[in-house]
Amino acid sequence: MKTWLFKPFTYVAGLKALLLGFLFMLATLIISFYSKTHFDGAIDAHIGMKAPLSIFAFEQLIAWGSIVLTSAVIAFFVARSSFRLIDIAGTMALSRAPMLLVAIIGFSPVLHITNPQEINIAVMAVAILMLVPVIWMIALMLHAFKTCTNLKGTKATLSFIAALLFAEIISFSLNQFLIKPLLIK
Amino acid sequence: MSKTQRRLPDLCPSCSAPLQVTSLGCNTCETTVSGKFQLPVLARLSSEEQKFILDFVKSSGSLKLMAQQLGLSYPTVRNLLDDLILKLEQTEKPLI
Repeated sequence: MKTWLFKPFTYVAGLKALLLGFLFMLATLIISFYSKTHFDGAIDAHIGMKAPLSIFAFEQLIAWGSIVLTSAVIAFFVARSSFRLIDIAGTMALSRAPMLLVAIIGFSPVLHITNPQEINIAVMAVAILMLVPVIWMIALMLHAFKTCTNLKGTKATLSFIAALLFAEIISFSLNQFLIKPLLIK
Repeated sequence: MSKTQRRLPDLCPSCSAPLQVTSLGCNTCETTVSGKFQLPVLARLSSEEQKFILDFVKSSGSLKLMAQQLGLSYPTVRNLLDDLILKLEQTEKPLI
């Protein structure tokens, strides 16, 4: 059970993981549209702004695509073993499954505040609750990266951190230049 | 008769150096051959690793087929193979 929750890629990867991951991403997309939860970064989740469904879809694709891209590029330079892009794409898609929980938590009315002065203990408690699935997703992403590249120990962790940082930069930039102008209109 | 499966030791329990075969015997005529023979590289692997190699050969080197048979993902099986290749390279070094 523990292995399936935290190390599922021992058993599932490739196209199977990609299809399963896309299914979770689709469910997350629909729920996040109604809970107004934006996944506007590789590991980001922000709540509040109403937007068309396509914006939510693009945000998810950018979040997933950026980590797939950076993981593949870093693996190309660091990994000794050969790797398949379909495994990285699939496992990273399935790693985003916990975001479904974040989208559901996004319905919590305490999170839909307009003024920063409205932040109270309840808001902070729900925000911390949202961190749990985010941490779970990062743990899954690390396992996905390790499984796909056969990297181990410190080398794996440092390479993954680098991939995550670059993914954050790419997804942030794409959201700033492509998505934000559409939201302002 | 005991059916305990005995594992062929490959390292000296005293100093951890690789063991050599010094005696071979015929069960039929009880002839004994003495000498110093190095263990084959494959015999130095664990029983699980030897089984993995046998399964790999039996599945014609198809990692996809092995992954299906073992109930593991493709990259997991490929990683097992890569780790085994690395171990074989390290095991072969002292022999060269």
